Amino acid sequence: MPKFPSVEWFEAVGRRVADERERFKHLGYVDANVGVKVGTGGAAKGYLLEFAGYGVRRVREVADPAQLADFTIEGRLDDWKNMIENIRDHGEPDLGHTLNRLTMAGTPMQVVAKDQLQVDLFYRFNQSIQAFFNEAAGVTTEFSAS
Amino acid sequence: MTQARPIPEELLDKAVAKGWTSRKAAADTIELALAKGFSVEQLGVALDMGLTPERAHELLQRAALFVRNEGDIFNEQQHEYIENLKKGRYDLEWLHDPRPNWGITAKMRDAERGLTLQDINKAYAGEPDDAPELRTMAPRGAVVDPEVPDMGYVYNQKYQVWSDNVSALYEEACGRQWSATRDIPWDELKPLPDDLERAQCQIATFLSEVEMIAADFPAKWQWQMNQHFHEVKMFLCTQAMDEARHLEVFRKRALANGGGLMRCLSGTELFLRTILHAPTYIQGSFLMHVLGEGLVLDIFRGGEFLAKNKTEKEIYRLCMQDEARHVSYGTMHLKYFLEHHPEHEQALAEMHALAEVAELGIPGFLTNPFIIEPLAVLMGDGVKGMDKGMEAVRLVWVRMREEYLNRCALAGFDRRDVTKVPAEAPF
Ligand SMILES: [Fe+2]
Ligand SMILES: [Fe+2]
Repeated sequence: MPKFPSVEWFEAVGRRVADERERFKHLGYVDANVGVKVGTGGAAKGYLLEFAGYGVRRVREVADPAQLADFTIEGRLDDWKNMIENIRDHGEPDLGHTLNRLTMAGTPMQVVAKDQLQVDLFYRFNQSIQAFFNEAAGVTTEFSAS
Repeated sequence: MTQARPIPEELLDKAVAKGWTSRKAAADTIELALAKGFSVEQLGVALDMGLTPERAHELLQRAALFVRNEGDIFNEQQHEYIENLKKGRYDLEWLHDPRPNWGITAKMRDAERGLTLQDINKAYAGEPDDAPELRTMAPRGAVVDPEVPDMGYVYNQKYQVWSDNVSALYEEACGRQWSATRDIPWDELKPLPDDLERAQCQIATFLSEVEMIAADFPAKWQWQMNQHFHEVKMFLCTQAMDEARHLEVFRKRALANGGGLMRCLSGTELFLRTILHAPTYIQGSFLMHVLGEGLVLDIFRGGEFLAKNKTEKEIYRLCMQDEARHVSYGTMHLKYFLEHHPEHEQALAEMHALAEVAELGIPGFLTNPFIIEPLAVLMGDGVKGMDKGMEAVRLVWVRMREEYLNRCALAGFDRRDVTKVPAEAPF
């Protein structure tokens, strides 16, 4: 059972995306390196998801995803856990647990990027990025201790 | 019976300025040309291209273009060619033309994605000239007839229309088209309490009203852009399709769940009018792509706060994706325009003067009760929760301003220290 967060977990989600190629093709390709940061301070874990074409080409653990990513989605482990559990419970997130909703001003998570054009990539590819995380519904997940 | 069309004074002025002997003689010739089926516009272009009175008379005398002998629809050249064909003689000039691009085989960078504009641009004539000599529809890099006519394009300088991300945005737009009929789960729409339905319909009415400006405005300028910059025109075509779909989807939402179309305000119409009648493309592009669509993008981004069901969530999210492309083009166009303008300082000063006035639109938008109150009702989940909803509106104010200023800064157009838009909502 892959543990969140880990390279294995993102790869497991990525494999499900690959199995759903036609559906993801319909959504459009994604050209973006998406950073994921889980936790805060020294204990934070960082990942770089290299989206290319209709899926994720490579996942790696990195110290500071913001240095390498076009944009990074950041949140505490509990916020990520809430989101993933919500996706698991409903097969997809309810209105309160989409990435877009959770990263708005005054909400627990954030999208950070070097400049606004990179932030805008999160908007431009939003449906595909959300659909990627929705595949977490089919990955039995164990969570790291928060 | 068709009415004789009066000859515009400007056309006569132009003929005289171009050296035609007298106003009366010009009027006679023009009248004859109109009677033969030419239009005022065609004559204007012909004068611009140096049509002399002698040549005009020669053409009109023959007037073989429109009036031919009975039973003969071919001109002299065509007759000659037909005779040659009968004798088995082919022209074959096309086979001996210079071949600047013979042997080009553009390669796909990614076979699953297919052959992209970036792929073919990498292979041949991918980089447009800063100031192309020709004013034609001929494909960039093709062999062109020497006597090719002038299309009358106005925007013939790359900096006037270009953005470095435009080819990628065109491909992205094509890859992310969706249907407001098929791709929205309309069957998930359920009756809402009256206050929420009214709020949703007021916003849907507003959006259905404003969306089409972003098709009408570029369309007005598009034909005036030199086709050497075809990527820009193609991108603007995708934007026009996007906006048609946005008008469609919000009209459908307003009419699909018991609410209906609601109030449109003269203030909104005035702002739309400013964009539609902007005197230059860059001015309108800034007003629309950067400022107006930036604000609308933030409304779409707030979709999950505003949506009460999966139907509305999908509507807002899909519109958000489209809108972000339009804003990205506008931001990068502004950057390219300012970086490459021959009189940079003056261009910058003019844009600041425009922004000074245009930014009044932000408070105009965010202190409009027909906009922020429905937003607050949706965000607060009803009139009862409006105070809470207003807190969210205040956050939207901060973010709209922030993202607008960030986009300006990225374009090399720093408004942060000079904008009069308050950093926080004044309510
Ligand atoms: Fe739009
Ligand atoms: Fe738009």
